[in-house]
Amino acid sequence: MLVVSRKAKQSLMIGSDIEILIIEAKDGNVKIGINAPKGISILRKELFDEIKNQNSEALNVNEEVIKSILGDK
Amino acid sequence: MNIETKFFGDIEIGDEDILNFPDGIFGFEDERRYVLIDIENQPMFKVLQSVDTRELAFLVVNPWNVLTDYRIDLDDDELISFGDNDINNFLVYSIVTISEDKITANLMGPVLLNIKTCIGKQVVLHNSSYTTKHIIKLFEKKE
Repeated sequence: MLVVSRKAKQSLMIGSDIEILIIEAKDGNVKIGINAPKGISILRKELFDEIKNQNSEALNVNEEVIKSILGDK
Repeated sequence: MNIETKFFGDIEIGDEDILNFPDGIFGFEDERRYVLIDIENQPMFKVLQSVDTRELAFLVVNPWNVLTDYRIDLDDDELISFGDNDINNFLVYSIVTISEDKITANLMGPVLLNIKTCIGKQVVLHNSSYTTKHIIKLFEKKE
């Protein structure tokens, strides 16, 4: 992993069209601004993981269980 | 073409039935082609089946059947990635999880399908208060 130190108001470029701006860093929190092309999805990692895990969990069901549940509704 | 499905054995589908997911589904980014299959006698649910992987099949539900005032706010930019931003051409489904004690629907990460361009995408409603485990049904404990 690339590790870079930045101060408030400084930014980073990822490629030529994604800018990560450090707006403020205090009290253990960092406020970040992101400029990216439309269509690039930007998500907090926790949310990304939550959706990913939920998708995996949804698959983890055997056919009989689904069939029996669908059958008795 | 003939495809293998998780719940329905082999079925015949046409090219026009194939839904393209350019970004895949979260956690399954490399799987890009799905079909939506009706379930006999179960109009509430459908199955979103991968064309290429038999085991990859999600049970999905129309979220408005689960929560009548469900609401999705997306900006036009997000709709543009579907190649068509006419909201009349969109279908929305929530992925269902069946666990030992309950059936839940993922209302935070719905799957959007554009029926005109046949493009699908799972989006995340990160500003909403919806959860990934909205309860549809609780099973009574068997004594």
